[in-house]
Amino acid sequence: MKNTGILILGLFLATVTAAFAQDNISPRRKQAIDSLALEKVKDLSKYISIIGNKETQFSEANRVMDRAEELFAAGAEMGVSSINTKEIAYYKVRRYFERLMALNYDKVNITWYDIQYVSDLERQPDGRYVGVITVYQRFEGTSIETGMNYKDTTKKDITIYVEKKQTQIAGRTIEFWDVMLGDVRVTETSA
Amino acid sequence: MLMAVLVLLAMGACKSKKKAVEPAPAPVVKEEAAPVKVQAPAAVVRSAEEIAVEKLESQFASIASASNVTAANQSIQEVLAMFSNQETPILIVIHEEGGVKDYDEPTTIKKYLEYLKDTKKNLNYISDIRLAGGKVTELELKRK
Repeated sequence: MKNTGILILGLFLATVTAAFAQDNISPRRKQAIDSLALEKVKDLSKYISIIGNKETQFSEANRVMDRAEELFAAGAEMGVSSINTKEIAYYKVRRYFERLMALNYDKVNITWYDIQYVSDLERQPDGRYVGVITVYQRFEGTSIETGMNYKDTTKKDITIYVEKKQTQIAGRTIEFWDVMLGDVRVTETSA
Repeated sequence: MLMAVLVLLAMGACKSKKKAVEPAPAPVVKEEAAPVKVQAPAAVVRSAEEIAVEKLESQFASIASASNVTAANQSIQEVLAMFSNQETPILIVIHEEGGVKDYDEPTTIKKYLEYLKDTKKNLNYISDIRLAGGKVTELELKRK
């Protein structure tokens, strides 16, 4: 009976220690993970700009679409708004990229700015880190034939998931931080 | 006579002392000369790894700052020729603390070069390289 008690206490202490060790991330390490996730969003902004740019070759745009899609978690959606309607449409990210590439303008310019955390990455009970990054997107589309010129600025919130994973590289186990972007929600739209 | 003996003894003592002192500077001269002789060939002979790193660092910078897609693609092809294959793994260390490395998701050289071209960001430097048969088989990068 006494031995069983010691065993249970030992198991409890081992579990608590393991849980503490997982949480024990130094500020510098946390900062590196924060920066990694922020960098992924900045990468997405570059990809969106390339996909939307009418001067980008079709093959290049498709290749970049693949890279951009890889940044997202499966099933993630992108919100699309307009100053002409109050409705916000949501598309699966691949569909969003395809629509972006096919926009009926002669010139499209998309820039993201003020990319920053609005909700810091916090560890969840399942071990994942979740946070929210906000961005401002300036969209400008120009049609030479119709003379149509559309401009808007949207504020978007992107949910970020960070999880520690393992993979095998040349027979070695490598632990890495997997950053996945979730849904991109439109929170504001203005001219 | 006594004076003559004393003078001779004194001269003998001085001569011995000089001998004891004399060998001392010799090794000093040799020690000073030795590094010069070793350093000269080392500066000329560089390892294959050092040459590859220098070339890759330069090419990475060229791709990230290329003025157009064609120029970037040309540099990409030159870099790919240095690797054993396009799927050669690239590890990126985002942080290191207490000997523990934190990595970004591993990628391949082809994807990494395209990343440089698309984002125009050259954020990493080469921290480790592995060559086999004159080709790069693995590359580890680290955040600048």
